[in-house]
Amino acid sequence: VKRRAFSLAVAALLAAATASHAQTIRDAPAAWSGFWLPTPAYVPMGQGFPPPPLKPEAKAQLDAARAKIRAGGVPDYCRPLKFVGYSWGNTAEVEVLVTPGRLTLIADDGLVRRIYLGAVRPPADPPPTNAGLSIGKWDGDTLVVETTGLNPAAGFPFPLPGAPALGENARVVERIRLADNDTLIFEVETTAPDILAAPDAKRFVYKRQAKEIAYATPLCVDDDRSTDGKGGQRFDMTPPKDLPPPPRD
Amino acid sequence: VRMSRRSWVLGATAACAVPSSGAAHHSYAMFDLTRVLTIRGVVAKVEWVNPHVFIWAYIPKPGGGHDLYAFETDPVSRLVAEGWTKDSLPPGEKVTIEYAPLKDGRPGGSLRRAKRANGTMLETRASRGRS
Repeated sequence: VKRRAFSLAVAALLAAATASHAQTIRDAPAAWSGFWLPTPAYVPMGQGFPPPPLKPEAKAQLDAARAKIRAGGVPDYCRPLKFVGYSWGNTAEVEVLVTPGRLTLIADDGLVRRIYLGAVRPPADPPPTNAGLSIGKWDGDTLVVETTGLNPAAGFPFPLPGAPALGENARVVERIRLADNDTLIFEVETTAPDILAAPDAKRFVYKRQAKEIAYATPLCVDDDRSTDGKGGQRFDMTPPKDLPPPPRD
Repeated sequence: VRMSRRSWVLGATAACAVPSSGAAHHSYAMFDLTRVLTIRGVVAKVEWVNPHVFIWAYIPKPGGGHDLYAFETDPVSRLVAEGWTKDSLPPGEKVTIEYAPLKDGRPGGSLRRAKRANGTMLETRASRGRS
């Protein structure tokens, strides 16, 4: 009798745990799936946004890095992409995939972010990765995503050579919601105690792209006419080999 | 509503001071973004590649013959979003091109917009005041 009672108790506990798990995991609506483009159509290096509240030393570092780019330098375009809250993961076109228990964001630039939904408790000190560890929880119809474990070496706010590094203990909180069937809103707040004097808050509006085929925008390609692969820019005017002859006068 | 030439040039200049994320692998320092030139010629080839589509055109010289010009523009995804296809500018077609010239004087620059022989205007992010 005792064994039977114990088995029933275990079964009841398992059933309760399963029910609890089912209640806490709530997938994103299927309508979130698709290709989304930020509007205005890009957030070029933060243009149109207030500058991040960098600490003075970090601001000076970013200003110097930007000056180098303006003078003809190139960003770290052939390096692994790193999520810092925006840019290289949230500013270009993004494909949203809805699957059970997970939301996946694939940035046009190539960064893949996996957001785990439901009853997942993030480890206290996740090892750093380029996308970080993202856990999503629902607040009504808004998905609140907390990302930790970000790469402390990531350039902030953009992957410019010499840009301030994100630093330790950075954290990104995103509030994502579907405003209407064709509008996805990201409200993003980055906390980075090493370089930010206050949280950096941004709001991105994405519009659904109605197209059947995704066109990725790889930045790291062979025979790039615009960069020399050594950190410099160029404008390579070597004519294509199959160029047709000029028209007759 | 089409922006005036001056306003969209200024807008493009401001917007292009720093590269955008999708095209964020070089700055626009090599282009004179304070100027927009217009030339007419014949499409030679479109290199439909990332991260920048390149358009080659033969531009007639005053004394006869042609110069070969090159124009850098948006990545494929952005042009598609603007309505372009890889066949929007077929070789041999007459074209009118607006562009920000290279500072070093070589024949070419950053494409702003292209007008096809049938009058269709092909826009870019820059022509819409965002780059």
